[in-house]
Amino acid sequence: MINVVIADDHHVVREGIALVLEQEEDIRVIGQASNGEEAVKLILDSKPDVAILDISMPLLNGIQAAQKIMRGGFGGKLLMLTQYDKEEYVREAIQIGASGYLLKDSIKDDVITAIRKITSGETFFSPSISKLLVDEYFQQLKRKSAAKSLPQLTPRETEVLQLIAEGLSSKQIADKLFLSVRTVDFHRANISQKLGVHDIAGLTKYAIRHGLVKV
Amino acid sequence: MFTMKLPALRNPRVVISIGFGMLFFLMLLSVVSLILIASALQGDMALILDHYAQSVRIVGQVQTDATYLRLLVRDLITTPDAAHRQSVRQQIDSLLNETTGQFSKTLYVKVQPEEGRSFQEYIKTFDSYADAIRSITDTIIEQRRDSSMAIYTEFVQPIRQALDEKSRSLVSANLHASAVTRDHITSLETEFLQIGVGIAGLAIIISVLIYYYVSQRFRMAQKQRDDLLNLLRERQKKIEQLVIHMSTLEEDQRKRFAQELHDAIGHGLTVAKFHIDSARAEFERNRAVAADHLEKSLSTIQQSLLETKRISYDMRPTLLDDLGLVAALNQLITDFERRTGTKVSRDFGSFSGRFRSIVEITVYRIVQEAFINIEKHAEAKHVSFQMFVRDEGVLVLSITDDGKGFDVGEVVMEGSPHLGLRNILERGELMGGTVLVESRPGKGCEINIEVPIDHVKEVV
Repeated sequence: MINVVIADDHHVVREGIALVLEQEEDIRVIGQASNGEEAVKLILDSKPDVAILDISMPLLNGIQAAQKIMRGGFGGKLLMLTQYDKEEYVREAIQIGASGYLLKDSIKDDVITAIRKITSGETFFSPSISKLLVDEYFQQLKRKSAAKSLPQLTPRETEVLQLIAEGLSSKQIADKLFLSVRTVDFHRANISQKLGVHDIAGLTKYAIRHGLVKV
Repeated sequence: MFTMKLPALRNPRVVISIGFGMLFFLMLLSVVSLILIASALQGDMALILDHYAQSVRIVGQVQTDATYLRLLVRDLITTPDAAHRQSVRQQIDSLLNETTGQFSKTLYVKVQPEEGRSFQEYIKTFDSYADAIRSITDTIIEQRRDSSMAIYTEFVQPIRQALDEKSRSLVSANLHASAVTRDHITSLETEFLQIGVGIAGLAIIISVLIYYYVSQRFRMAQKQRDDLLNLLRERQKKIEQLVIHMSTLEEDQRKRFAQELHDAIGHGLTVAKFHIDSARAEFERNRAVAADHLEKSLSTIQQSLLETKRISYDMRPTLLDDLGLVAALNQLITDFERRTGTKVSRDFGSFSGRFRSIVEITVYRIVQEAFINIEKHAEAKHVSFQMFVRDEGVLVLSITDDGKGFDVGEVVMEGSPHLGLRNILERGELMGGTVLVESRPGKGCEINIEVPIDHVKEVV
């Protein structure tokens, strides 16, 4: 028997999920919560096998509630529920330790599969989410392979640093790059922050060491 | 103690009071000293002149006595009557004593050393004259008339001549001394005049300095006041503009929202309702047609649902509330890449905290606007984005694209139809931050944002 708790601030959604789950003989809904705080208390008290948590909830959102639940020593599985197919939510949910991520659009079709998969130790993501995750993964791979020689500095900052090292003043750099002096100073401050170097001598030394200027 | 006095000196009123106090004191000092010096000089002059008059009178007296003595001596020598001789002799003795007595009076009239020397010589000469006369009277008493006559011509006469001479040189020494004294006094007067002029000059310099200082302070204060007034007016105008702009912005948003609500949801629901109505009507007659209508209504509702989500997320990106700015911007950029196919290299540094919600939403809207502009106009191949926090507590963002660029002045100008960039600038300003936009036609665009953050709260 798989015991399930459902937390969502919308009554209709909770009832809808419960209705679907009750059709399965080995799944039982043992409690419902309508906000984050209630959910934390209910889940830690009743120790269900699966907790279905909506992300957008009042008082404590689903992410914060999930953090508390995991910190409280929850031994079951977390299935996050959401309206939005945004990777950032998924990333956060995975980091907290959720086993599945379900879009509300596809609850009816996927919730049973999701519960069965995560209780058997696998993970489950709604199909559109899976696609996002794969895309994201490839993007990250590409970003890493295109590593720059000066990883911290943008091309513009590298350009400004080069001119600083050549001994030009902010005004001269501004004229040369067709920028305002304030923009040049903005870049200077960023360069100093990134390199942790706050004087012209130090910046010049850095530029020479990295081959931006010839001695 | 010295440091305690400094703030008081910065107060112009204190400086002016001190300056005028000094000035008044100097003037008083110069007037008093001039009066004192003048009266002292007057007294000295009177005394010296009195001394000269006295010494001249004494010398005159002595000269008269000497003449009278000579007459008496001649009478003594020539008279045959012994009794008469005795009385003349007594007269001579008493006159001599009297004249010698006069000399003591002359001791205090000596003002100049040369004058003193002349007196001494004069007195010596007179003494030898008196001696000669006494020796004559002695010989006369011993009845040796011839030899006394000889003594008279041999001694008294020349001494008497020397005496005359001495008296003349004494008078001339006297005159000289008086001239020297006068010169001395005149030079003293000149000196005091110079001192007076010096004091007056100092007073003038001090008053000029005071005047300069006061007018300088006054001008500075006036300039500061004018600057402040101008700044105030500028700010006020800006606030008025912002208020007007914000209200139109809000109205625009409402209009857009109403439009979207009508287009996306209202329209979708109308279409769905039409299909469901049709399905109900066809339900008994033709199941297949009814099912088709239901299928269409379902897909329309599905479409409306997606639109609703999009609109609601657009109105309030829940990621911002749930996970914060970094996550929301990351998502924004990912969505942008997916929509446009344009690559964005992003660097969020290592910051993982939360900012004040006004900062988060404003920065989000600015970045959103920037990416919308790039999507709509830039035709960029590559966009780079970075965001981090400087040590001094400034949130820094840069969005740079390699698109076709534009003339910043033209776009930001009042009345320009491109509101996006002006929205960016105004939002930044409202937050107390700085937004720097750099672009030229054909040279891409970079938008740099600085926002001072006083409260950074870490995510729990």
